[in-house]
Formats: sequence, C-alpha cells, structure tokens
Amino acid sequence: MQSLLIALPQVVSLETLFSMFSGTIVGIIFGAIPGLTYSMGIILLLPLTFGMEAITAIALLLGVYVGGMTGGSVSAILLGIPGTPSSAATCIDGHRFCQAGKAGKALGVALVASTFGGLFSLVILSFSAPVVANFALKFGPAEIFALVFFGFSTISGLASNNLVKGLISGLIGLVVMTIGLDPIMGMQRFTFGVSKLNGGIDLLVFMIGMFAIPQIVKIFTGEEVSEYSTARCIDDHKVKNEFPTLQEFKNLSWPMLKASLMGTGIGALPGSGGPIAAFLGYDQARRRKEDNEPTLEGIAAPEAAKNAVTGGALIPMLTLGIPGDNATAIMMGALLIHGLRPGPLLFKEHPDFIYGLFAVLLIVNIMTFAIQYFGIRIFVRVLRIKKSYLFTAIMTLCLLGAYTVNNNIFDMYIMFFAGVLGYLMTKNKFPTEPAVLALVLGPTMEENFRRSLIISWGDFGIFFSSPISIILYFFTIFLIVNQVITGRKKKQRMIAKAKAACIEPEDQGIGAK
Amino acid sequence: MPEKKRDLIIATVLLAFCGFWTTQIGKIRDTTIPGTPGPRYFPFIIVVALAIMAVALAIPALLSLAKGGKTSKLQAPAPVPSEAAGCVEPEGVKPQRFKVIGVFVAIFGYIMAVEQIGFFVATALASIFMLLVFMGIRNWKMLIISSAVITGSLFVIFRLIIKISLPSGILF
Repeated sequence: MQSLLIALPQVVSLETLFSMFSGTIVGIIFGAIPGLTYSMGIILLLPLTFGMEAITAIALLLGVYVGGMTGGSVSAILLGIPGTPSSAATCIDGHRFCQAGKAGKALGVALVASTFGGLFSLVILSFSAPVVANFALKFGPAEIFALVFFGFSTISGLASNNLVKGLISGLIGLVVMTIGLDPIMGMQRFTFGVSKLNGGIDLLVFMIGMFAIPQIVKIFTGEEVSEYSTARCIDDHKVKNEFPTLQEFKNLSWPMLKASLMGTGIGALPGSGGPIAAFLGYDQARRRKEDNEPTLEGIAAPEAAKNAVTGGALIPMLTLGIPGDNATAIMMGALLIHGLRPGPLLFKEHPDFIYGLFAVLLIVNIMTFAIQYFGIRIFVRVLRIKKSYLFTAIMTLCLLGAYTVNNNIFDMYIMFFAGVLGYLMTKNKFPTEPAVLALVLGPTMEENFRRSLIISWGDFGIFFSSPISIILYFFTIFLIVNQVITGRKKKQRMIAKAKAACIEPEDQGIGAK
Repeated sequence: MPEKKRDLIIATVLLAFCGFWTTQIGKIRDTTIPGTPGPRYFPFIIVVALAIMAVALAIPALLSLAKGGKTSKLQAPAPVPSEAAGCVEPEGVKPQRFKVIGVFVAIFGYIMAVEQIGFFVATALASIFMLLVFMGIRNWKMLIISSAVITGSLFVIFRLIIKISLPSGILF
C-alpha cells in the first residue's frame, strides 16, 4: 500500500496521463489497421521514451499494447480483416454480425469483453506477481538457466506451425546474440575486426529490422494491398458502439470469465500470446453450438481471452525476466534502457514502480474503453488512410528509431541487414518472433549456464541437482511434445468447426481467396 | 519453387554457415579459467544445435522430393480457422524479384543519403522516390505535400519537442 501511495503522484501526473492517452490512441490505430501491429507501434514509440521517467515511459508503451489489442476488433468486425493476428478469431462471428446490419452490437460487445478481459488479468497479475517474484528469489544460476531454457524452447515451439523452423529461428537469434564481447571474460567474438560490433547487436535495432522492414517491403512491392475497397458493410455516419443489454451481459458473463482465465494463463506462458488465446476462447465458446449462426459469445470470448493476455504476459516478464510475448519483449528492452532489470529483484528494489505499473494498467484499460467508445467514427475513418503514405512515414520512423538508440548511423545498417534476414525468413515461412526473443533471453541463458559451471567446477550435474530445475525441464519436454502431437489435432478440429459454422467466402462478399 | 526444394536449399545454406561459423569460433581466444566453459563454449553448442536442426529440415524435404513432391502431412501448415472463414486480408500480387531487390536497394540508398546529406533532406527525397517509383503515385502535389508532412512532422517532434539531434549533412 505504501509503495502504491509513493507511485500514485507520478502515475496521475499530467505527463504520465498524456502518455497513456496518446499511447492508447496510437495503439488503437495500429491495432485497427491491418498490416500494422501494436508491437510495431511499441517499437516505433520506444525512442520517444528515452528522456522520460520510467513510469511515464511504460505508461506510453502499455497504452499502445492495450489499445492495440483492443483496436484489432474494429477492422475485424467492419472490414472482415483482422487488424492484428489476435483479432482473427473475432472476425469469424464479428464480421457476419456486421453484414447482418448489427455492426454496432458487435463492436459494443467486443469493447466490453476486451475491457473485462484486461481488467480481470490485471487483478490476477497484481495478486500473483509478488508471490511468483518472492519464489523466484530462491533461484540460483542453474534454476535461472532452466527457466530461460523453458521459456526459449516453448517460444520456439509455440510460435510456429513447424517446430523445426521455429527452433532454427531461435538458434539464428542466439547466433546473433553471441556477436560482440563475451559477457563473462570480455573476449571479442565474431566482430570481424569491426570495433562497432564490440557492443554487440542492439536488441531494439534488431527488432525494428525483423518486424517492421519486411512489412514495409511487402507494401512497396504490392505483396500486401495498400488500400481497401470501401464496398464493405460500413457506413461512417451510422457506426457506433451498442452495449449488450443486461440480459445479454448476464449470458455473456460466464463465457467471458472462462475466456479471461484462459487468456491470462496462456499469456503467462512464454511464447504464446493473443492469437492462441483468442482461438482457444472462440473454440470454447462455440463448442456446444450446433448451428452455424454467429453468436455474441463468438465475439465476446475471443476478445476477453486476447485482452486477458496483456496482464498474463506481464507476469513472467516482471517476475522472472522472461517476456510473455513480442510486446513484453520490447517493453523489457525499454525497462533495461531505463536501468530497471525485470526479475524478482525488481519487486524488492523498486516496489513503487511495480505498483505504479499496476495503476497505469488499470487506467489504460479504462481509457481504452472510453476512447474507443467515443472515438469509433474517427477510427473508422482512419481505416481508409492509404497504407502507401503510412508505410513511407513508418519507414522513416524505423531509421530514426534505429539511429536514436545509440546516436550511431552504423545501427541503421544493422537494422537494414536484420530487415533482409527478416524478409527472407518470412518468405520461407520461418517465424521471426523466436529469433527476436532469443536475443532477449540469450544473454541471461549464456551467463547463467557458464556461471553454474564455474560454481560447480565444470560438473554438469548442477543443472539437475535442484527439483525446480528438473520440474522446468520436464515442463519443457511436455509442452513441446504436446505442441507437436495435439496442436495439429486441435487446429484441424477448429478448422472443421469454422468451415461448418461459416458461409462460403464468396457468399460473404469478403475478398475471395 | 516448391517449398520442399526451398527447405533443402535453406538446410544446405545453414550447414555451410555452420561450417563457416565453426572456423570463426576457432579464432576466439580461449578461457583462462581451467575446467570451466570459456567464450567458445556457448557459440559451439549453438552451432551444433543449428547443424542438427538443418539436417532435421533437410530430411523430410529429401524424402518428399524422393516421393515425387507429395507434401508430408506433418510439414504442411494447416490453414487457421479465420482463413477458412474468409477473414483474411486480401492478397496483393506476387512480387517480382527485381522489385523486392529494388526496394531494399532504395532503403540502403536512403541510409547512405542520411549519412551524406542529412536526415531531413534525405527523408524528403526518399519519401518522394518511394511513393513515385514503387507506389506509382504521379500526382506531384500529393507527393510534395506528403513528403513535406512526413519530414515536417519528424522535424517538429524530434528536433523541436524532444530535442534529439539527428544526422545533419551538407544542407541542414
């Protein structure tokens, strides 16, 4: 309570409130426009935070995160195109409501459900995080290595339809991570005589290259469309949010609660994020339905689940220093830039920051609700902006972002080559997320691996001497095997349900494949 | 090119890379604490794991090509439900290779121009170039206005408000 009282003046300061407000608006826009993602929004705004206080910086980034998660439903429902991958499940029933002339109802239910999910996960976060952090204080180097290994292998496995490609992507990230000075002995590694590589490859620069450059190239080459036909079921003057009635809300309460619980749990698992939570939420909501009619549960459940990921993903990031998804990986980078190292010690040394973050998350969820409710017609207009102009601006922001990290033009070239690598990977169906997350987790992994062996004088038994480590290795193997065996069966079942539930794409009037 | 053939080429490239990287590992100065892992250790483990994964990528591709190109069920990515429902972004055209190379060359040229003539001048010119050449926008008014808006906004936000110094060149 004392920590919260210390943090409160900074949380409610004009600067922080303005950061939350502007971050939320940027997040909703980035979430709503297909091709842009909230991760990209967070990366692009990160350079703006360098001169801010830590809590103000994280307020801006959390605004983008939560706003982006929520904003994806706008285009999913109105255009039939998910604004973010997390909104793909909302699109299935949501767009059909729109075509039936009930866009307002779909938007209203999506908004209520996403806010519910976000607030639910915040409650879980605020109660569970201190407990997990306290437990994690007992971890030694061997346990930390086991934890990071668990996080790394689940990321690689879960981020891809193809386990081998996911693991290769992660290993490529680890190769990049080793460039620079060795963290323990300070020896030069893979610098090829270039002194600027002594500092290694900067995480933010690499992220911008891997995430943003391939998207920019796809727009400029025409691989992705740069504007959408306006012959959709939207009419600017008529779109408005319609909240569910009391009876509808009562009927939706249980599906939203289940979905929120699921989303929080999935978010807490490193590597799984909004898309997985949303589809599982949708699957749960539709499981007992035998007919093909779209339902409000089919909108509320995925929305609640995906927004519940926001709080869930912060649990491993804050308590263990392992990001739950891409957005939290970038936010980890932001915290490191501000001298705050995520992990159990953060709770001990900066409790005011932690409780301030919880308060920021509460305000951001409420702000997102209010901004999307009152500003829906503005966001609908934003969908009509041609992506060619938008991505030209994004291209310049990418260069700017890469430069401002270290005020070094060399970083722009690093970003370029990361972009080439990212493009080649996406073209050949290699996921890029494991590579980036490997760059985040890799240094911790290597440091603790080598520290453990130094402590044990080279005895590998140290990695299996603790029950915590053994349990973590067991979970690693279990999750990877589970992903390989059951993941495909689950996906095939969901495809069959989706096909049975939907009208043929041509009849829907959505762009046919 | 079929996906399996591409996977085989990628696996070959990865194995060649592992060979090259291993020679580079040999050039790292070894540890001074006997019996404990030095700076070479972790990179070596990564390279071995990468080589194993490259072989794991190559084997199904080889088997598939040997069977006459039939896609293995284990490897074929299943479409996600939203795609089955038609909820996908409309596809653009398949890009010609030279256009992709052209975009990358343009971005590289933009970075070199930033170094030579300064960020703002380079941005103004690059914006016009990208919209004109790659997006086919021929309306000169729109080109100049959009370039001015992008460059002007960045100037106001980064130079005047946040006061971050950006690369200056021969002009400003």
